[in-house]
Amino acid sequence: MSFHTRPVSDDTLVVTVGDTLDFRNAEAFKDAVHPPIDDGKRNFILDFSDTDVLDSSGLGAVFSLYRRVATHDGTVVFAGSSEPVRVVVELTRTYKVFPQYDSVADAQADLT
Amino acid sequence: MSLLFQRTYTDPDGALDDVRAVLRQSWPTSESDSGGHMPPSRTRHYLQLVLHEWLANLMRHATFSSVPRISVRVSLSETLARCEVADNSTGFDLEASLFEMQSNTLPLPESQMGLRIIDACATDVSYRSRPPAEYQFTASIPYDHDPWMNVLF
Repeated sequence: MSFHTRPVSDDTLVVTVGDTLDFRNAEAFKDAVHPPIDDGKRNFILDFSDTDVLDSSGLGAVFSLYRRVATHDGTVVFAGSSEPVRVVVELTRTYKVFPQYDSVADAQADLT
Repeated sequence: MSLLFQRTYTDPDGALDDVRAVLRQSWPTSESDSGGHMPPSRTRHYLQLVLHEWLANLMRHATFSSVPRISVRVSLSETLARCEVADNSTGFDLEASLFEMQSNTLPLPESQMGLRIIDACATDVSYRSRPPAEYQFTASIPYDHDPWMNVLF
């Protein structure tokens, strides 16, 4: 499964997560988001609006991304999170690390 | 307890997506669907997460000496949702695994969160031998449950 990515500025990338981010595609997610860090991307907007599954491995892959961008003063934000994603975010209190936006446009307006 | 659904799978990967679809289709959306008590939609998401993490755990870590056979049963009462997952693997010690995971927590963990998520979302979690040749996972999610999990940042 591939992930659609879209640069919206020199340092900001929008990642459309799609239906599922779980143990079956967590490595593919890392493969999609880690190389852009080497190309200068520092801010990642994760579009979770169509996501029905975010499991522990998927969240682990997002933590992996965060570890990498945090060393460059970058950030990872969640946009348009669906109810299943909000459940995981609230359960794990990860809103303390990942700012939550109602939409990609709102996140983009804040970050770019 | 009223039975919401019961299915048996020999394809664990297919079970993941089918359980999610069946939960969505069968979850009561009106009081007449539920016999007078409406389980919150949030409970469905906790239940989906618990079942997903458990099935993923079986797929990734369980040893099956024959073709996998996994039976999923979900039922609802006036106060809680309950799931039972029977499998024909060789089993493992759930309590020891949970203890190990809870005592080895690292900041921003990239793995070993699945069983901790199950433990946070559900009550009465167990995984026990069910003779003659099966193991059974059970978990309950009270409708008023407000879970949280301690993840270090």
